Amino acid sequence: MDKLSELPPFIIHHIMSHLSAKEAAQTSILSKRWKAQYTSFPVLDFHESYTYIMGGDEFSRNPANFNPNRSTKRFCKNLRKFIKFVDASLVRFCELGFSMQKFRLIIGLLDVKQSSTVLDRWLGLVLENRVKELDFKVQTTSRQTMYTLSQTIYFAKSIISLKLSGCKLEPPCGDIRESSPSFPREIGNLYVTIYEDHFAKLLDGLLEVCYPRTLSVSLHRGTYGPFFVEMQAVVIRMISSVGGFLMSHLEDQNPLFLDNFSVDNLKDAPRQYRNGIVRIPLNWRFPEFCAAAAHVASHMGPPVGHMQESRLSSTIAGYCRCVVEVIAPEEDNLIKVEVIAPVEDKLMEGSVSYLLSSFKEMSIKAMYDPRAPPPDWDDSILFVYGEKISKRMVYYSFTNILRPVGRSSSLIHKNIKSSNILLDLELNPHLSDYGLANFHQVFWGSTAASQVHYLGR
Amino acid sequence: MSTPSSSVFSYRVLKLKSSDGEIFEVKQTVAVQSGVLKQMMEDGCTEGEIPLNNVDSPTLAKIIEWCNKHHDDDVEGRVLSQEKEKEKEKADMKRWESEFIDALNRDELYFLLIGSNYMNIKELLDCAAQKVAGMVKGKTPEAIREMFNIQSDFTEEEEKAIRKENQWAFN
Repeated sequence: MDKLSELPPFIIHHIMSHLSAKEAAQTSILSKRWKAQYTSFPVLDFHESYTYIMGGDEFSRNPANFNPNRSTKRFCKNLRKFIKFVDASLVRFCELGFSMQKFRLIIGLLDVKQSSTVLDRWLGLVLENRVKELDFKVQTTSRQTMYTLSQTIYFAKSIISLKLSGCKLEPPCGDIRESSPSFPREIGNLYVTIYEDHFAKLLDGLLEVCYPRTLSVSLHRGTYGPFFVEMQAVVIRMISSVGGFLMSHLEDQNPLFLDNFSVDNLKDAPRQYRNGIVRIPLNWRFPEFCAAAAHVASHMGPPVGHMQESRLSSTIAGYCRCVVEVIAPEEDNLIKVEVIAPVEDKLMEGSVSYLLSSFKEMSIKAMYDPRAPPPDWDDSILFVYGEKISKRMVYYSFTNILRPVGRSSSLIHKNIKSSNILLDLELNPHLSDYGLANFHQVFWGSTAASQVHYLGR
Repeated sequence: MSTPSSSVFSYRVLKLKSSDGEIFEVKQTVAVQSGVLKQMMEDGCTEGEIPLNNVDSPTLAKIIEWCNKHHDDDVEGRVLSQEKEKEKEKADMKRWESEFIDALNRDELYFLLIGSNYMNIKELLDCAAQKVAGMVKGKTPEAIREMFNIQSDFTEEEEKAIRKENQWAFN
């Protein structure tokens, strides 16, 4: 007998993990020893078996166009078969009491209510077996009847990667939140495929209990417009929560935070949205994190960013230049923020306010480096400096203060804070106390530069 | 061989003893790739010879060759090189890895798997496991049996039952 088939189970499983689910299942017929290895193989992948058993059904290809009357009978028969198969495999594995590496399931449902008990039970079993990677994909005929993920998911101690698709998740209810769920806060990968009307709920629920390292969102054909508005909001919440987390872990050698944020299936979206959210494959470190956050929020074209040592400079579709630089990383993480943007650009409002709102928590000192080359833009230039600038304040400064000034001038306020914002009778906010602020021409005179310079230190 | 004086430069050397008694010297910076040795270093019990009872000397030599190749002298000090360069380096490494693995015969591969598992060197284990998976891929059960010289110990009925149970996989 060949030595290779005599390897210890752990190594055999390692080898199996490099095979497809089908190829791994085929090894069960080699000999009794191999069958035992397959039974204890901690990766339960029901992706391929689903496609096979359902026979490339119309439903699994496109659940939305599924005509229930025509092929329901065959579908239900196959589905029963599939459920039985998953059930049997799952129970057999769970009897062994080993921990599960991965559980991957794709399933199409006609009657969500009826089947959800089965799914809940599977989820329970899987979590009991300390699953590490969970990939759940549920297809339904209508979006109104989505499968609601059981709240037990919040007690998943062992999960490092979570991939959900086509299911809802309610935010943790009071009890769970207060008992500080065992859900690990630093979840490795969070992939979420969502129908646009549900993603906010799903993400919010998850973000409340974890800090994903990778977040990947897949879009579905449908209403892209409202999606993006909400998307922005969620990303902002997410990044600010991650930012807060980051702040509390700055001393850590390797702080955990979002490394990668991406949106899939963008190619089907209309052009104006396609440019909206861009893939950010940056390996975010602290400064990049801020710049990338600006990208996400700005909803502009793909970032033309490059990183050199600790400097990241990016141009967003020629509109906004955003430089975030760690000037003295070893001292107190002094960050230079420089935002140059056409003032009357609605999108930029979002971007800048957002960028600065993410700084609020970090209390970053912003300063301008007079050695930097003058910018090429002859549009209005805005610098907003301050230690604690909230999103809303910047927004006000954009809409109410700068617009009357016109596009040819720009403003340096230097001291935007809540006490400097006054409300008129109609509750319109106005910025007051210009103090040292200047209107100035758009070229980088030495005055402007030096005035700003002193602010930083 | 380097003398103990090199320890001044933090290039401390570990002495690894294979199952057949041969001693191999490995720089500490190289040895950290092994989870087991790393743990030992952290615990400060690397004085003298470290016996590796599950690894024979030809295998240990192979493992050390791998580790030497995969270790970067100044990971910390090096400035991030250009994207292109990095990609090229990666491709070169991939080529070297596949040549390294392909050159092994079955027995060597077996011992390498056992050894890398024992010493907890994840990349090497991964690479070797992938090689075996590649051997299995796309082959019928009969062909795999023949390749590994496995005798089926199932009765005809048992085999039928398994085929039925995992029907989707056997089509």
